[in-house]
Amino acid sequence: MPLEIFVQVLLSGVLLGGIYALVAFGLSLVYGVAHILNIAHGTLLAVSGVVASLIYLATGWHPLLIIPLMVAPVFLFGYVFHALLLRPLAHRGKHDETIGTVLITTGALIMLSDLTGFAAGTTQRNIPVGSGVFEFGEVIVPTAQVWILAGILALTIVLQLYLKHAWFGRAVRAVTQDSLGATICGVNGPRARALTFAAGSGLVAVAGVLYAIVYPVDPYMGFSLTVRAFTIIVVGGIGNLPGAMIAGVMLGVAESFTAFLWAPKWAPALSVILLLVILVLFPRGFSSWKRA
Amino acid sequence: MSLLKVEALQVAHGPLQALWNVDIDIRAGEKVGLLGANGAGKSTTLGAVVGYYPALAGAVHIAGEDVTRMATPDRLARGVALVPEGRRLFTEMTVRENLEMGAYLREPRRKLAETLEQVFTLFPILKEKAGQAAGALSGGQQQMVAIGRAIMSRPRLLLLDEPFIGVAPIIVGDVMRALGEIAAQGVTIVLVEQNTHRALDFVERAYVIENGRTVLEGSRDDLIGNAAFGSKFLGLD
Repeated sequence: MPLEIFVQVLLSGVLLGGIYALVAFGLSLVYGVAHILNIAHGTLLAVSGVVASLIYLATGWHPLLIIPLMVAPVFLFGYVFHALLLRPLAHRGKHDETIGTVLITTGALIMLSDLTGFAAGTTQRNIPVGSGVFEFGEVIVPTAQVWILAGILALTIVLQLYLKHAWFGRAVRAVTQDSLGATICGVNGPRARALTFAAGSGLVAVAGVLYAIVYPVDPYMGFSLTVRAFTIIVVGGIGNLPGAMIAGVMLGVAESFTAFLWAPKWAPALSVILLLVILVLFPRGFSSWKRA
Repeated sequence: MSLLKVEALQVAHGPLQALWNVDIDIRAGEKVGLLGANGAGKSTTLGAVVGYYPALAGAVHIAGEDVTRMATPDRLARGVALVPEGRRLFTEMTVRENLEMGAYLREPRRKLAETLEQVFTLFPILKEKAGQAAGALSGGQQQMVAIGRAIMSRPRLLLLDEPFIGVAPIIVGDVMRALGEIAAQGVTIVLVEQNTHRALDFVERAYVIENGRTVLEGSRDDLIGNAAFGSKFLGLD
């Protein structure tokens, strides 16, 4: 493979992986704090991507303007969804709660996909922003992709700093590490869980807009993203953002090369294979050997 | 006036009732023990005081105020702090972050720097280990972090649940001395302890809990002189 092709495939893999990591962040934080396996998480990306594409089609606004427009309602949706459907399950036993959250979020996946398909059609859409290209010698990269990559990196750093230093960010980590310990420090557990669920939803809306700029979106594509995000958090460690970023980029690069060298249809299988291989080599994910 | 008053308290864990009738009355400045066998309901009593376990019946008053229906953060804001069984530290956070989490509520947050210095004076080793992950510390040092975290909220009532479990014997004395200093600064202390001898070295007065009921109360000397108590808890004939 010529070097410039190699670099291009690599870069598009890094970009894809960065978006996967954004999807995984929300899932990871929500699982860590609230023990909710949100099966509909990727579907929120799909719906956000479709709606953002329609807004772009109708108005031609810059995606940077569409992002906050999407985040606010999806954040609110996440908050209300958690308050009405998931929070009541916390009063049940642990077993009921786990099964209940999976059933409810699976139902949400089906309804969100079908409602979006019904209202907006099932065709693939995207946000076709005009973009120049950066040329590094023989390597040609659309500028939009470079900005998206920079944006994902900045967002990751801001999130990580927030979790490390802000009081609420620390409270989220505290609830993840020891819920009772956090409660006796005065952390309002239910509120932390609700806000984290809402923030995780808002984050996936950001990922949805970015995704639609680079790849086509449709209402039914969400579940395969959720599976990838699961793989990433198992490999990268629950609540571990740098770990999720590393795992996400690995997965994105692996998929990118698979699609280029063999065929795109093999790419989705990779997340499952990668999961198996890494769990055999590092049974507790990256977080275990990072700490060791 | 009593600082902590628990009246006819009943608590259930799911279908299992753990407390049937617990009565406790503690004045400000006292050092009081809660004694009893494993599973008698001592930890549940402390959990119910901070609101971690809801009361089925009965009442909890803090400084004369009925807090029975209050959420945990509101009770903590009234000056209660708990050092829980098993420490419950944030093991992947640093020692400093753990201590700072203790000052999470609004009032203690304002005095964070000052209180942190007090905790470091009380446990100098924690200042040396401030940047290390709490999970990497020895049992005794982790217990110091747990006590320090509770102190960070500047409590007037400190509840300690089995603080000497997993603490090396040579460190027990250090922790005991630190608790004495905390008490000397006017903090009221309630100590749950299985080792009755050790508890009676520290407290002035104690309650005995059996099967979820307070069955005996008395000063240290009363209890040591009580024949039934002596044979059951002190190994005296």
